[in-house]
Amino acid sequence: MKTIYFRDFVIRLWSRKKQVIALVIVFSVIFGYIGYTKANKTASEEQLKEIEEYEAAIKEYDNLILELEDSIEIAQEQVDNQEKYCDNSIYLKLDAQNIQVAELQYAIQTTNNVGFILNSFVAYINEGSLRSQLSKVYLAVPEEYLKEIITCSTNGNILNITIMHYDKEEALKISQFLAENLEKQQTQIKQIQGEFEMKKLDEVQYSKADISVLNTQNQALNNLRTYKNTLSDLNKKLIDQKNARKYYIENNEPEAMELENPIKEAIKFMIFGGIFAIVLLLVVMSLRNIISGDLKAKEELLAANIAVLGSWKERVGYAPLLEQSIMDIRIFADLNQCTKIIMNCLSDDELIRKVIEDYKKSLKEYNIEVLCYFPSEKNMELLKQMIDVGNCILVAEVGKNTYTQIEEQVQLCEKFGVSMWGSIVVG
Amino acid sequence: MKLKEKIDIIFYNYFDAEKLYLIAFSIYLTGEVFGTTMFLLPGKIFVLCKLLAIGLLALKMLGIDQFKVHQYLVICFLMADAVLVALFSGYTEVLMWMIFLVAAKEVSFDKILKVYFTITFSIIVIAMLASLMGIIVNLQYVMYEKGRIRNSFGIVYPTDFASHIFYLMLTFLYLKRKQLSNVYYISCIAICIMVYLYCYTRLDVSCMFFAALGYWILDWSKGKYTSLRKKYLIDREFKRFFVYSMPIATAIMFTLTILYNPNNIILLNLDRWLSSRLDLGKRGLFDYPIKLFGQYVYMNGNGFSTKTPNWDKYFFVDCSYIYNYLRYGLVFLLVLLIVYVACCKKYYDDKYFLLTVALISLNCMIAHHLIELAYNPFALALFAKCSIDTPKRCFLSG
Repeated sequence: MKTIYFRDFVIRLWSRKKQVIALVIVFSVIFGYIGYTKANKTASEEQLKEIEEYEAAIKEYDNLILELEDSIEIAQEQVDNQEKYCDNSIYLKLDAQNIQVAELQYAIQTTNNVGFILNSFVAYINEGSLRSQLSKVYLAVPEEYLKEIITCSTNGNILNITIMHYDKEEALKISQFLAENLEKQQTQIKQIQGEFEMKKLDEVQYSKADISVLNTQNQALNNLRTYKNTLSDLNKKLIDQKNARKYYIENNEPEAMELENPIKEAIKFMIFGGIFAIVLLLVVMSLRNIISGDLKAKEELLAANIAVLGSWKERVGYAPLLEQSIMDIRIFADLNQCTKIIMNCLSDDELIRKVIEDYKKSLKEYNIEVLCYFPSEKNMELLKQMIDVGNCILVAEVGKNTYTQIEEQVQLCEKFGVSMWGSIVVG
Repeated sequence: MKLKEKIDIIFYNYFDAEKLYLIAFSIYLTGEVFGTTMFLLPGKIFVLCKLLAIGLLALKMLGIDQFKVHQYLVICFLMADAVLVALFSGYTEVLMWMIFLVAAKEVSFDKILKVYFTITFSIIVIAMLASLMGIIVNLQYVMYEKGRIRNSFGIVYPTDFASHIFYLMLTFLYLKRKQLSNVYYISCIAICIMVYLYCYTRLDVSCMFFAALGYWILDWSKGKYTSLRKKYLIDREFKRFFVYSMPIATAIMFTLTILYNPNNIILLNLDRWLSSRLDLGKRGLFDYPIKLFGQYVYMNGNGFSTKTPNWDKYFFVDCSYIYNYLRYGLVFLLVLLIVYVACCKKYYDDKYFLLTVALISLNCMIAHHLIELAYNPFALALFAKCSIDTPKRCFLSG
């Protein structure tokens, strides 16, 4: 089976390294120039306009997307806050048909300004530290939601405090806490507003139904729903815009879009050009090797039913050994009762002559005369001599002799009845 | 001296038939393989390659080749069919394929395969390198549902890249058939894995795997179980089956395609596994009339670009048998099958060749490269000289 040795190509390339390097440089320069030109090409006015329009459109898409993302952030915050309020607010948990109410009623007696004193109490309840104190004591009552359930009003010198809760016990607890702290707060207010007397007129607890609570609750839930819908719409718009942007890019991106660094591109192309040159050389050498009619190896002669009596290769020497080859030839000579052998050489160079000399010397010891015919010497007389001797051994050189030459000699021998014992392959 | 004698002398002395063919093949193949890459060379180069190749082949066939009467008649018939296909359908691929087929007379098949391997392998390597370096585009297709990226490595589509690798692998295995060892098989499996990971071409990778497995089995079974094989005539049955592998594959694909029905759960799943090849094939068979010499069939595939396709307009028949039938006609499909059966009969004693044709038949059920010489050169065996290691003085018979 024919074999191509890659190392043979590499050796051949190395032996002609100057030409190879020259070719690599040429290709590198050509490819480098192509790369540089490609990267450096100035877009025509029309292309520039196209690029401008394209970039403007992309920018618009990007701005829209940014706006939508900001809106989404705000909408999300709104949704989160409203959800938190809906989940945690006591007011929203009230049963509008059965609200637990605790009421406190106080009267203020004083010679000083009643209004100021009452306002002080109202301020303490609505804006003061009462709620924070309350939420510390009652952890189930978050501070931010107390304002909704504790209301107070004044009428003359009467202070009314109303506490709403869904739990009767909790409403009572809150009212008791309020009562205690109002008592304590009196001292503070007296220091500012002057002396007064505060009497608890009434403390009641009852349940009531209030449609306005239901309305407020529904309003809060509707707000939550609205915020969620807004968020969903914004998300959908964002997806649509992103898809529209992607579709626009796919269908409208101008060819002259990417103008890269010319030097970098040129270097990249040069490297590629060098590699391309080497690959091209290897391909050309491979194809020459495949297509040419030169003899490649002794196996091809064997496949054509021409016996190979011996072969010689550089670095390997004789394979089989010269002695083995000589023995085979002697056997042929004995069988045919010959004392003369024709070595029919297809080429004439030092290598062939060296091998022939080795055979001549070895066969001389056995009284077998070797007559050599080289291409330059062949004429009618030599041909007649070959016919008279009646035998020949073909000597072919790998890479130099072709199948056509071999075939010609085979046919010549067949035509004149010369027995071709086999061949010796050199190289 | 008469003119005829002078011409004979010129052709005999100055032209070598085999060299002419191989040079023509090299030129044509270079153009065709580059045409499957993203180098996007000008169209004139491909036309030039074809014209040069045709010129050289014409020189060979008209000036050097000798035909017996029956061979001459067969060639006339084949060329007539190719010309009619070109006239009726407008496609010249069949004509080029046929010219190379008939001009391969007395050209060593091994040399044809070696030229194919050398050129295709080199161009694929160049394309891969160029795509990885950014010289040309590496088309990457994202499969979101599977979280995968399919690379095409400088070729127009990932499956086309995988097809190149498949046919290169087949060619290499066939050329090295007498010298294969475990190293080659392990390398083939490694290539299968790499192609699967980076291209995700399940069906082509399966064919590659079967190629490695098939060659390994043939290698492993040499000289084993001889008495059992003789008793049950295993070898004979193997050869018989593989000789007709392509007609069998054609029949299977036509049957499945015609019978395809999305309401049938088995066929539906099979179609999904084959990536809609049955559905698209059926559309082609029922949308286009039966034609003896082919017709123009517009196909809109995914190659050359990663733009999201308009799936409403997507139509590409990947099965070679249906593809060739639709575009090149019923007569050409039959010719194709006869050509491959004839090749198998010619190489009846070469199990590796039979296996190779069987693998090609399998691959052509899912790929459309049957008559593209840039992928598949094996049909050229019909008129080419048998390989050098059969006991014939092939290169002497000139």
